Amino acid sequence: MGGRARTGGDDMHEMSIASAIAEQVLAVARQNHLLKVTQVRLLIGQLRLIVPEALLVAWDAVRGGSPAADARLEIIEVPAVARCKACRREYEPEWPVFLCPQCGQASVEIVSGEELILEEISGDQQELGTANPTSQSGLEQRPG
Amino acid sequence: MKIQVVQNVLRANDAIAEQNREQFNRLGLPVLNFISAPGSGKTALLERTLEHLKTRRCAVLVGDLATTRDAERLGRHCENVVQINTGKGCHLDAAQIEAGLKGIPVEQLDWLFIENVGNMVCPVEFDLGEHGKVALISTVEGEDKPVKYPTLFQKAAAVVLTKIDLAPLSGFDRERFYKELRQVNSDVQVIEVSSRTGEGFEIWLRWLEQFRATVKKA
Repeated sequence: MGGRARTGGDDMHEMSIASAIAEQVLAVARQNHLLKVTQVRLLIGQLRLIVPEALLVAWDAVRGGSPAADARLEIIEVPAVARCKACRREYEPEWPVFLCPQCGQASVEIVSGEELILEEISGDQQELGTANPTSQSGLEQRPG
Repeated sequence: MKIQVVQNVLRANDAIAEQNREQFNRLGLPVLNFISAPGSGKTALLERTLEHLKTRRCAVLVGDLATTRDAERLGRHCENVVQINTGKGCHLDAAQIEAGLKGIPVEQLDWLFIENVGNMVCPVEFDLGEHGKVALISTVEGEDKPVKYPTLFQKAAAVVLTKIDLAPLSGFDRERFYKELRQVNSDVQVIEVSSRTGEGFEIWLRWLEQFRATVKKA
């Protein structure tokens, strides 16, 4: 993806999005007693109007000075799948065209491709001896 | 240590948008979000629409980076107009709508129109709590806009083709416009208007009334 002129700063919506990510990452980090966040995994649907490079620039700007200051933003793209409202066929649209390969209509429900999900964060907990005795390394399920 | 989060990044905006929508539904108040490139004629369309809807109680929330010019123009036709200046923000968000509503008597309204910041990309990403998006495109900005900016045209409840009086002068290729639009959205109604001459407004106003009827008081 590319081709958009970038000026940086808060005049692009990637900045609002990066700020929202930072807020949620830091809240989860606090809840889980993370001293440092090392990685943030994001799912972005193919149909979202977000330029990954611009988001990375914005992320760089918002994470500074926080426990996520060195956190790498990993972006995973979710493919677009549409369901034709006319014949119910599911297909991957050849963006920007949404024509159904079966019946030729462009009358869609989006099945996937519009996600913007903070999926997972990785980090280092408090040092041994001060850690919460119930916490262990590895996966911890959080309610969505 | 890995922590599964699985949260919508825009949940804060979306939560406020849902609250806005719930309020609108409670009041049976239809809300439309007008989105287009700068200069397509959003303000002009709303000015003329407000004149035609003089017997209805309308309100407009209008977003621009700077100035109150659009609010001043709209204010000549409607007493409930709030200008939202976003500074550098390229789109309106739900919190700005929530704040803007405090300046108008929502319980007394028949219509709320939101004129978004001139931009065919970012505004589409941010739910404001509206019942539908209206996409504007003028006959002088290029008939291939639908395939260049498909998301807006795919999600629109209606497409208003503006400046129809200038089509012959600009060489607007109507056939190509419709052909390409239908590759993105087969269903959306297109209403051709000139806000300057009034051409097409009968159909536009009829669409508005039909849309209004779909918004039931919750």
